[in-house]
Amino acid sequence: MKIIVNQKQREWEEHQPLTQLLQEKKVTRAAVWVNGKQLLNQEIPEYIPQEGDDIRILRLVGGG
Amino acid sequence: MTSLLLGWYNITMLLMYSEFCATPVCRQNRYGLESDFQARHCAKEKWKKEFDIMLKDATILYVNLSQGTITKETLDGETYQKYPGGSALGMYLMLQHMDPSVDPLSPENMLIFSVSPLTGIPISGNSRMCATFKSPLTGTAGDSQVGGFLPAALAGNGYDAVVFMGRSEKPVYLFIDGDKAELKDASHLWGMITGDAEKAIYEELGDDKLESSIIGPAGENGVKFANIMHMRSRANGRNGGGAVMGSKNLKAMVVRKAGPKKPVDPEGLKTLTGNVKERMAANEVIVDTSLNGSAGVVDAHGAEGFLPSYNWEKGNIDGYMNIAGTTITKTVLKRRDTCYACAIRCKGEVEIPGRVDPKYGGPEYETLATFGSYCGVNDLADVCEANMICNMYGMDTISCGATIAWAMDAYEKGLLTKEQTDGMEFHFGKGSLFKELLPKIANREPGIGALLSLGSYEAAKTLGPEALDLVVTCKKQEWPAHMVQMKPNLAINYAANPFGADHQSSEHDPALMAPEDDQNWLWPNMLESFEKVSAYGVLDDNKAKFAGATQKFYSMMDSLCLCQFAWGPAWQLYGPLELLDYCKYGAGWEATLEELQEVGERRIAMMRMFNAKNGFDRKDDVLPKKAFLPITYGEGEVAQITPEGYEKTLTAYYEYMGWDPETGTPTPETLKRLGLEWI
Repeated sequence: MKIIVNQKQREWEEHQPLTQLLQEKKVTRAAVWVNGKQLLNQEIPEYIPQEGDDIRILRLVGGG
Repeated sequence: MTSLLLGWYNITMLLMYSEFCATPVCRQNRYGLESDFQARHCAKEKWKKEFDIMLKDATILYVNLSQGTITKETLDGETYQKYPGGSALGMYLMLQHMDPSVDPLSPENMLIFSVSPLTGIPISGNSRMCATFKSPLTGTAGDSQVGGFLPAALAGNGYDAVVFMGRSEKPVYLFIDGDKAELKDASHLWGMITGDAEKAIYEELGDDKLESSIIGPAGENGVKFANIMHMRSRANGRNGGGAVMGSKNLKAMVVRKAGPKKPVDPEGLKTLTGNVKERMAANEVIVDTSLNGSAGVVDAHGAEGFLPSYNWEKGNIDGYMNIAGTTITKTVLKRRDTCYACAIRCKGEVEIPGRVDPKYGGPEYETLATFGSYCGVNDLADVCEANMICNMYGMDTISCGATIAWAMDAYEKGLLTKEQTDGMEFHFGKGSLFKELLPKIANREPGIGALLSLGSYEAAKTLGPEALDLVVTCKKQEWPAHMVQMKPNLAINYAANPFGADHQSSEHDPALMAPEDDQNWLWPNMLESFEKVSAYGVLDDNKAKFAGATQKFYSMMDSLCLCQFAWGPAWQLYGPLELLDYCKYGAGWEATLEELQEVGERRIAMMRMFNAKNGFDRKDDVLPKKAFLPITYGEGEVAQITPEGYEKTLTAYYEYMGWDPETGTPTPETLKRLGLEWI
C-alpha cells in the first residue's frame, strides 16, 4: 500500500507498525502527525499505518 | 515502555500537586490528562507567599590582587535572595563595584567566581560555578559556567563567591582552605599547560585533596577566547574568561575539598533523590546522555540534516557517523565520568594511544561539530586531538573550532592566502592541521596564530568585508552548533542574548513539537501557555514568547548554578516543580515559579543595562548572513528563516521582556518591577 511520509509517497507493507518506520529513519524521539492529528507518545507504539496515510515525523532534539 | 513510564510519571506529578488546589478551575485536555495550566495553577497555590527572606547571608571573599589583600564580607540574605548566586550575584557585584566601560583586560575588570545557596547539596546537577566578568571577546557583560567538583568544594568551604580585582605584579594563585585564604607565588607555573600546572600545584601543597580552576598559556597570552579549565576537562569556556584571569597574573584558584553541604530538610530531599534511577530510566534523553554524553546529538542532528557543516553553508557532512556519539562510545571511549553527586555521568574520557590522553576528557557535541563538521572534518582522531590540545592550552573549543572553520571558508574563497597561513593549507576537511595550528593560536605566534587568536570577527575585519560576510557570530561570539533553521527561537537568543550566541540560554524549539503526554510539552507550559508547532523554520510571536520565557528559566538556572542537563524546563531529569521542592528542601527557600522566573529576568536585565552603558542596543542584536540560508534536510525538504520574520519576532520578544522596542533596553517600568532602579 502507499503512504506519504514527510511529503514523499512510498510503499508500506500492511500491518507493519509505525515504530518500524521510526527505526528505519533512526529516530528515537519523535513528534508524529497522522493526517494532521498528532499522536501521543503512548499511541505511537500501537499505531499501524493505513493506506493513504499522510505521516509527518519530526525529530525531537534538545540542547547539549 | 519508556513512553508509558514517562506518561505515568508526568500524570503522577500533576496529580500530586493538584491535591493542594481547592479551586476547580483547571481544564482537562482531550486525553483526560491534567493540563499544564492545572500544574501551574496548583504550583502557585501551593507555594504562594509574600516575599519572605528565607536565604541566609552570603559569604564573599574579596581578593585585591594589586594590593595583595584578602577580605571576607557578608551580603545580607534579603539582597542574596534577589541575586541568589551564580551569574545574578556576579552581575550584581560587578554593577555595584565596577565601571562598565573598563577595558576587559585592564586591572579594573573584575573576575567573580560564584556558586549558590544550593551548591554542594548531594543531588544530580548541583555542582556548577559561574565566572562573571566583562568579556574581551564581545565587550559585553560575560559569564560562563563550569561543573565538576570545584563548585561543591567552594561551597563546602563556606564561600558563596570569590571576587578578584586588580592585577598582581607577579603570577600568583589563590589557595582556599576553610577560613584560610592566601595568595601564593605562581611564577614557576606561568607558561605551563593546564595538566602540568595542576600536578605541580598539588605536589607543592602536599596532597591531592584539592580542586582547582587553572588557565593555560592561551589565557596568559590574552587569546580572546581563552577559557578557565577545571580537572583538565571542564571549562568556564565562553567569553574569554581565561584572558581576563591571565591579565590579572592569576594562574589558578585552588580549593580544598570539603564534605557535602547538608540540606535544610534531608527527608524532603530524599523525595527527589530516592527514585533517581527510575527517573533516569524513564527519560530517553537522559538514558542516551548517560550512554553517549552530549555527543549523541551528532547522531540526531546528522541524521536529520541539521549538523552545521562547512562553516554553516550546509547541514550535513558525508561520514558524520565517524564523529557521532555512538561511534565514540564503541571505539575510543575509555570511561564515562561525572561531576559531584551526579547520577547522569555525561562526561567522557577518550583515549587514542600515541595521540589522545584520557586525562583531558573527550569531545562533547559542540566540539565534535566545531572541529568536525564546521571544518568539514570527519576524522574522529583529529577532533579528539584538537579537543585535548584546547584543554591543555585553555581555549574554548566552540570559538576556536568555529574560528578555524571561518578561516577555512575564507581560504577556499581566496580571501586568506597561504602566505597568511604560515604556509599551511586551510582546505575544508584538513583536520591534520589542528595539531600544528592550535599551539600557534594559544601562543599568539605572529602570523596565523595571532590572527585567529582574535576570534573570527576581529580576524575577518583585517581581511575586509567579503571575509566578514563569512563570519557566523552574534556580538562577535561564535555560534554554537544548533541551526536556527531547525530551532528558530535560537535566532532570537543567539542575537539578543547579552553576550551573544549561546545554546544554553533558552530551551530549544523541538519542545513545542512534543506530544501532549510528553514532559517536553508539559514542562515549558508551566512557564507560559504555548501553541503547538508542527514544522521546522517557524519564527513568530509564539516563538518570541518561548524564547523569552525559557530564557528567564535558563538565566535563573545560571544563577542558582544548576546543570542544564539535570535541571530544566523540557527534556531534563528534573523540571520546574521539582526545582521548587529543591529550593525548599535544600535551602529552606519556599520560592514560587514567578519568583524564580523573576530571578532570571533580573539577571538578563542587569546584563542588558551593563551593555547599554557600553553603547549596545538593538543594532547589535543582529544575525549573520548565513542565518538566512535555506537548509535542505531530511529527504529533500527545506527550512529557512527570513530577515523580515526575524525583525518582527525580535520586536515581539522585546515587548514580552518589557524592553524598549526601539533600543532593546529594559524600560524604566521593567527596572522598577525588578527592583533595579539603582542601576
